[in-house]
Amino acid sequence: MIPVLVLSHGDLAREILVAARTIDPQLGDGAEILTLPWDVKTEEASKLLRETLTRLDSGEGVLVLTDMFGGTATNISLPYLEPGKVEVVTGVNLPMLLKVASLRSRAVPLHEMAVRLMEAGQKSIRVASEFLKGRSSKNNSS
Amino acid sequence: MRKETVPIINKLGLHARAAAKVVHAANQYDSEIFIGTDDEEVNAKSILGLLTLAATQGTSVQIRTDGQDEEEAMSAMVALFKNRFGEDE
Repeated sequence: MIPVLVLSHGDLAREILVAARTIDPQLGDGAEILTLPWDVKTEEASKLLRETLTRLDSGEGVLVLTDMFGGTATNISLPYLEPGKVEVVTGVNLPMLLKVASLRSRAVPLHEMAVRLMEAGQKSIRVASEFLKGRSSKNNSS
Repeated sequence: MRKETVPIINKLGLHARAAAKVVHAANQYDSEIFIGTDDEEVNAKSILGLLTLAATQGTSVQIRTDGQDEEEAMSAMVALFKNRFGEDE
């Protein structure tokens, strides 16, 4: 099982993981968080991240989900990028976390898991009115 | 292949926690299981797929099971919907 590390500023990571586990308790093990205080000292955070990645990796690598591309959480993880060992997906959202269990059940390898989670996260973002408009026009034409 | 139509009777409709229960129930069976509304049909083993149905209380959904254990799978799916996904209202 590939472990997932949610990495964010403030308590975002904690709350999003609580929400995901409330919806799908199967996410359970193999998901951890690391939260960065707003006055983070990057050297300390980087060291803590390195230790966490080492501890979590049981051979299949670790998938890091960060809050935002360009933010500190992402920036401190980039030095640890390594094929098959550490992948980083930015802009974590709830649907991405809900997708983790099904990808794990199919034993998808690390890089593919990262790409599939990105796709799931992107696909889940909708303008509700546009989505519903598409439906009603489909129904009217049928 | 088996097909049945059931109404969604719980107050919150096919929301995220209910969808997760459908997925876990569906994963107990080898059969392919699909849930559909008038708009689209999705794989019952995908939580994000189920959520795209945006199925609210009062919506009728078509359940389709196909495989060796399709009968048991259908019974379990129908029971889950009739049981309001284990919710009180």
